[in-house]
Amino acid sequence: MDDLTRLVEIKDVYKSYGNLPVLRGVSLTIPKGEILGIIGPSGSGKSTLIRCINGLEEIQSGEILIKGQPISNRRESLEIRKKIGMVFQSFNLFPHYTVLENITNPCRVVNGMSKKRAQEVGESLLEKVRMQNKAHQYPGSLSGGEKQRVAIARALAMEPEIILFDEPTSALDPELAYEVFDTIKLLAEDGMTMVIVTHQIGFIKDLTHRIVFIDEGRICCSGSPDYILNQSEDPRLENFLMRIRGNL
Amino acid sequence: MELNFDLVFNNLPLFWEATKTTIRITVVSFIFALLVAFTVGVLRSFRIPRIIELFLASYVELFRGSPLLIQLFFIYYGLPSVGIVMDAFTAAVIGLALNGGAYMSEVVRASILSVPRGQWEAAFSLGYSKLETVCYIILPQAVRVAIPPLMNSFSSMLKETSLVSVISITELTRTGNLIYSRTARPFEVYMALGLFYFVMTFSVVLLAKQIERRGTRWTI
Ligand SMILES: Nc1ncnc2c1ncn2[C@@H]1O[C@H](COP(=O)(O)OP(=O)(O)O)[C@@H](O)[C@H]1O
Ligand SMILES: [Mg+2]
Repeated sequence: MDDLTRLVEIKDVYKSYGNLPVLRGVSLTIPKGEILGIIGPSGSGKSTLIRCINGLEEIQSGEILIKGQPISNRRESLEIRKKIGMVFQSFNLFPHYTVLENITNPCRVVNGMSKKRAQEVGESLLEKVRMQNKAHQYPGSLSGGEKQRVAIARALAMEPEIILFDEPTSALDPELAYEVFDTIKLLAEDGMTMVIVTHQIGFIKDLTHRIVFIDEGRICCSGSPDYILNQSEDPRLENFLMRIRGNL
Repeated sequence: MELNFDLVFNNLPLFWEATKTTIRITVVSFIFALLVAFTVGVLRSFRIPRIIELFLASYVELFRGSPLLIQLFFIYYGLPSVGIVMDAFTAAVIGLALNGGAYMSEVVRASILSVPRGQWEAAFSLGYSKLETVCYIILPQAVRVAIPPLMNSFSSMLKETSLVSVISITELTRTGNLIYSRTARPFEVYMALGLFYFVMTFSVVLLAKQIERRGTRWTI
């Protein structure tokens, strides 16, 4: 891989909360255009890993490079950070702005767009996620699936190079989760680079190019979806898959 | 002894002038208190240099932990000893604004802390700077939480202006005292005085209810 295709490089990252080690030597490279699934037991460090990628958490040692530049929560990485979209389990829409304003406000404040241009961008993104008919409602009146689709549109507004999804459908009923995954599929068709943390392996088995399995803060194994979900004989992975399949 | 409320009616013009002074002091002090409260409250909800945090925390605790009356005496009678002289109105406003600001900064701080962490994180990941996050995302949500308790602070301040009568400002309480010393009819005078204050604070309460009932267009 040359430098251009290496969008995210995670090199031997350690991270702990106080005395609790959470990431214990994680290395991972994400090329442009890849759709990467991350699975693992809860508490294994999946959220922490993707929060480190966009600078929401500071790491203790190792290195995270985005297009060759180190990421941090400091001002210097503001420009690269904008290019890393994040979609949260709890949506985190801005409740005091309408659906449309949730998109136009960042466009105007962060990207300095004119009101008119932001409006156009907002409307076309809402159309993409099929939410244009609720543009002027407040997020409080939307269903969970609708909220998450708006959150995806909002992330897209910054024209990100990569979008990180942290269990985007865990708070949703199955049929609403389908809605959201349909939207994620649309992004896949556009060639968006994505990292998706989820327990719903049914959704990602056809969508992702690669799946990594994280256990106790380490990447335990990684490979094609077929390899990870059907062929690997790693006992911890098998154990994990058995448990979540049992729940389905 | 027969009660005679005529003296209240006869002195209505005086009371009216005094009421206007009370309202003016309250409003001016409250505006400055809001400025202080938002500055201190916003700063204190951030990780700021220890020395600044220590300074702001001392200010808040000092003004909340000592009587307003003493603060007013100190500002008006004490400060001239070190060469800081001001007229009574300025002293009253400074005293009320610093005292109210200390209490209200805690309201502002609690309101900011009540905004979920996810809001900061969403703004952060969209590329808002700290200042932009506060202005566009956090404060609009915090203000909604803060409005009812701040209305409460306003009526408290209105009642506390009564204390500035001791630094010879002829507001409502001092006017009452003057009329009492002229007429020697405390029952009627202080009853009227209490009623005037009540009418004002009750109007604020009604207004606050109105605002709360109307609410905002959005919900969580
Ligand atoms: N802000 C935090 N402070 C302290 N501990 C945390 C914090 N966030 C997560 N942890 C802990 O770190 C571990 C990994 O958490 P997380 O990355 O959220 O796991 P996952 O997303 O895989 O479920 C857990 O044990 C969790 O309790
Ligand atoms: Mg998680």
